Amino acid sequence: MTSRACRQVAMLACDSSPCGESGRQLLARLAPRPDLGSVLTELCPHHPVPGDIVEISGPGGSGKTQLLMECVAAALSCDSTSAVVLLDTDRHVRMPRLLQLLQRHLPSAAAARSAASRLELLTATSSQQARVALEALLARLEEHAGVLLLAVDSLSAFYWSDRHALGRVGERADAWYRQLGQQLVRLAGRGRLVVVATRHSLSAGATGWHHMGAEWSAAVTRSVCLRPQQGAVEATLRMVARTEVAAPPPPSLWKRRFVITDEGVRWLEVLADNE
Amino acid sequence: MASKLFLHSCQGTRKRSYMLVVSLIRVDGLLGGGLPAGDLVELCGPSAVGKTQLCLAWAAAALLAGARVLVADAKCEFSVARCRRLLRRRGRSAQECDRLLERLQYAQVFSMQELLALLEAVRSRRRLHAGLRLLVVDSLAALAAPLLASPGFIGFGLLTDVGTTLKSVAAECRLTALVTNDLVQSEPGGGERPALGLAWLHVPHHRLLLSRETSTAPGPLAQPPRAGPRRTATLAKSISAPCGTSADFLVTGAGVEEAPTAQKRSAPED
Repeated sequence: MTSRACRQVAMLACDSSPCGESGRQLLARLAPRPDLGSVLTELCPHHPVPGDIVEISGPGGSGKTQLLMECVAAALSCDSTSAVVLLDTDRHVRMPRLLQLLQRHLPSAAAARSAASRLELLTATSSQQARVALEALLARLEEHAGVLLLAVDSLSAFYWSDRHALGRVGERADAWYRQLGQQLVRLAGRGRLVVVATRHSLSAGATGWHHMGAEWSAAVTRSVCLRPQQGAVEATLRMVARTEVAAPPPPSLWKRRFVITDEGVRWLEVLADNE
Repeated sequence: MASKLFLHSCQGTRKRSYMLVVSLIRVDGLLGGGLPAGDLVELCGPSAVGKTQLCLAWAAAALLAGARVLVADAKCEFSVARCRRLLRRRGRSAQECDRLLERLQYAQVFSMQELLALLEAVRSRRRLHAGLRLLVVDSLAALAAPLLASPGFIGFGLLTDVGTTLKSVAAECRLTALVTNDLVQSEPGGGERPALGLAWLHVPHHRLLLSRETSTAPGPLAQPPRAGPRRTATLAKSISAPCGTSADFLVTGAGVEEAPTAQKRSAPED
């Protein structure tokens, strides 16, 4: 990555909030959004609302991408007009699998294909490409707010490459990923959509270190940690109650197990709740 | 300069599926019928378990299917002469074998940078490599392991670049990228895990773990147990097939063969 490219993307990523918005932008922002509602109830027992950020983390092969595709399929099925944007940096997403999941939600193969046509797939082979794509998406959403869900697989695909390219000083890589986190938070807020993102385990053990920084960790409203265990996967969900949501406080900790079958994710017993 | 950004809708990606079959029915069945096009497959196992032999078998199968094969050899263990013998055993004449081997491109790589340059050449000159369906890297551990302890995260950075480029090339050229990797001890007294660390663990689309049987027949005193020809391939990770399934095969002087009394074992049910 050249320093010039870094500066260009850094300029795009700066929070250059306009001092006002046009009437069209205001109406687009305030238009009623489809209710993700009963969708994602297994993953998010209290309905996610626009602005929510869901992070799915775990080691390789734990099922993060499968869970993400379940969210995408559910979001495409809940409404016949809303779109979903999927930013694929890992190249683990497969369209035939997504169609298979859609057919579980929808009555026919034709309906599944129609729903799949509302998916916009963005592929990036570097973090610069990913950030440019997200900035372009934000600019588009401020004009036409039609996206219900932004799925990102994954946040950490290029971390080590960036860490090496940005030099020995880790602070530059930290700043780069902090800005990526800020972009996603802006998308969730100003774009009025739900962000679901996967993240690989970059360090062994529970060190508490997050490569996206403390600001991103604070912005995540639902954190799902996956741990493969005895033929299944244990999912631990931690939720942060949002004061602007007028609803009973959700349980702060929730554990379930699931297995991945040909038909998709099959949820097993609840391990713990309301802890 | 940042490379091109691809933006396409779900309906626009209508690519024909392509599976390379090695004629080991059970091993092919682990990944759904053969090596899937567009995917990165990792063969992981201890030394001399048969990773290179399996790569040779898939290379021969690809050549017989009319495809091109590119081999990036880091250990100088991929024998083109052996590949020719495998083709002869499949009933091909000497002239046919020579013609088939014209479609096998062999390159020795001695560094991660050389491997990246080779992959970029494949991506940028797709017309030259038309018909390329299998790309073998044997072995990625030999290239990357010496760099992982280097300062400045150069090893992890290059490993990430190689993984990203392999998956991009596999997707854009609709080929299967097949890499070999070693197994290392995860912790004292613990189990084994794929080498190359956490930075690599999530990268492959599919991971086959190879293990060998150990002869239980009592031998002379002070002699280590002899390894038999039977090997077991277990699907440890996959984006499209059920994990935990395994299949047996044999590694003999004639190459890889079906194990005569092997049973395909499924993962234990919940």
